Amino acid sequence: MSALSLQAEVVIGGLLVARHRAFHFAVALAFSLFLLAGASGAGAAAIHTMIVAAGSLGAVAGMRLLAPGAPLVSVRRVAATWWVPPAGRLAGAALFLAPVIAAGALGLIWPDEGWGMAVRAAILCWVFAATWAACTLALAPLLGAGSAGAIGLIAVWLGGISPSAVHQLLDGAVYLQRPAVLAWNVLPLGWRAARALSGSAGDWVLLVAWLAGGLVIGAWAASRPSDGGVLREGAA
Amino acid sequence: MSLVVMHDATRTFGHGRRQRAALVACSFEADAGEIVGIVGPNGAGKSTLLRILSGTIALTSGVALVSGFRVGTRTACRRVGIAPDPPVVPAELTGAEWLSYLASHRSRSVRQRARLVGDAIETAELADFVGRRVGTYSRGMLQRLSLAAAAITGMEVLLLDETLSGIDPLVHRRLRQQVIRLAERGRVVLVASHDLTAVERLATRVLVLAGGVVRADVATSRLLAERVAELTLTGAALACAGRLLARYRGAVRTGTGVAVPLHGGVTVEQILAACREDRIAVVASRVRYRALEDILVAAVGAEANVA
Repeated sequence: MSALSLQAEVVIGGLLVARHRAFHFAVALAFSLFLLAGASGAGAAAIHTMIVAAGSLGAVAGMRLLAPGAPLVSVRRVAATWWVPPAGRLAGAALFLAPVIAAGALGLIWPDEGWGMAVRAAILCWVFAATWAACTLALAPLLGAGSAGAIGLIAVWLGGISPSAVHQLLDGAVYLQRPAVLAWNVLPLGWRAARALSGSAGDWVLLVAWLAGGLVIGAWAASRPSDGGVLREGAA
Repeated sequence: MSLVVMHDATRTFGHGRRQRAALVACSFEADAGEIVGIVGPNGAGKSTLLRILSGTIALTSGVALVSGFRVGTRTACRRVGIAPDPPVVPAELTGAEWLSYLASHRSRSVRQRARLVGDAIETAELADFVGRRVGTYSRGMLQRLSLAAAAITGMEVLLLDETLSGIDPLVHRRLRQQVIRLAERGRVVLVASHDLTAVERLATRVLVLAGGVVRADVATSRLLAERVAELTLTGAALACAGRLLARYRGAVRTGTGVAVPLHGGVTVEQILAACREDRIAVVASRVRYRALEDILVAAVGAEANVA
């Protein structure tokens, strides 16, 4: 693996995201949410608004990075070390997420909570966005970019509901209740991100674990042949 | 050692009653410097063969090697460059960005990357539009960008799938020279195309595929050594063409009559005498070199007979 390979992946990751219409819409949506929350004096809900906006940006950005078509084919064509394309592209996309998230933290958190909280919120939202970008990046080669993005957006938007609320909501459906609550506890959802801000290390670990898992699955999905056949390395 | 080896390579799609063989027991070898044309009707297995060699799809059975490595492995993929049909390039990038991205994965220094990109731009004559976004390219421009990209990644094996179609004749001629130059530098070039004239001019050898099976493997120099008598028939004589096809091995129907290969001591005079005997009126006759089209028509005819 050469430094040029990694640099090339960072650059193409940034370009694939920054020049795509879907990401432009997601940025417009994020700023609309920030304005709406700021205008209505969001207060405590500001962090939830930040999390939803950051997660949406991440989900939309991630779905482009290994989308079936040229982005996915290029990974097979360059035949780089397995982790370089997903990690490099995610890093490139994350560079474009950072200023939007920073603007949100500056506008929503800083006036009421001060610098310290604004910086912590920005870092958390950036990690949360990168986590969902990694998840949709992993799903895109398997399900298609549109489906991966939709799954990411739904999870981000519904993820603010706490597990106890899900438990109550599904009180009448016992068979659905258990798996739903389990999923709510295992997935990197918004309620957990909000809790991570109060200092729970376990929540941070779970978010980062999903980020790493997404990259590994993305690398596997991108390097296999398009029909799922198994390839063996080495000379015949 | 052959750079490309395929032995009994078979690829099927689907399962059960829907199973369909795209490539059946395909075997051939190609050495450095060879330009191998791959021709055949739609669905013959040309693109499947190239996609297997590029590692995009896996084999169902058999062996396929690139420089001694199993196709699809990272080691093999790093030696192969493919220009697929249709070209696959992100529309958001400019041509230069795309080439620079690919070259970064084949370079050890910025200078080497710049040289690779420069060579590729020169090879495919991209200088006029390489700075524009790919989404604004015409089909011909895309084909040329695809050729340049394949030249960067395919240091040993170049796979061109209909890459020279849709390009204006003057650029086409110059690109053919560039492809020949790439082969002269030690690459194997496989060209799949429906443009038989272009393949005749470019390839040193031609594989004729039909129904996923290699029907013929002919050196293009052999085509020049063979002659064909072309008879023009009209009206009732056309209905009698079947008799000529049955009498002469390798004879095929053409749009206006029959083409008979002149091998095994057969002469035009003998054929015309036979026509007179059978009361088949010949409007005109001429002798020409054997064309790739004759071999293709004969191969597809054989497939139809098998079916």
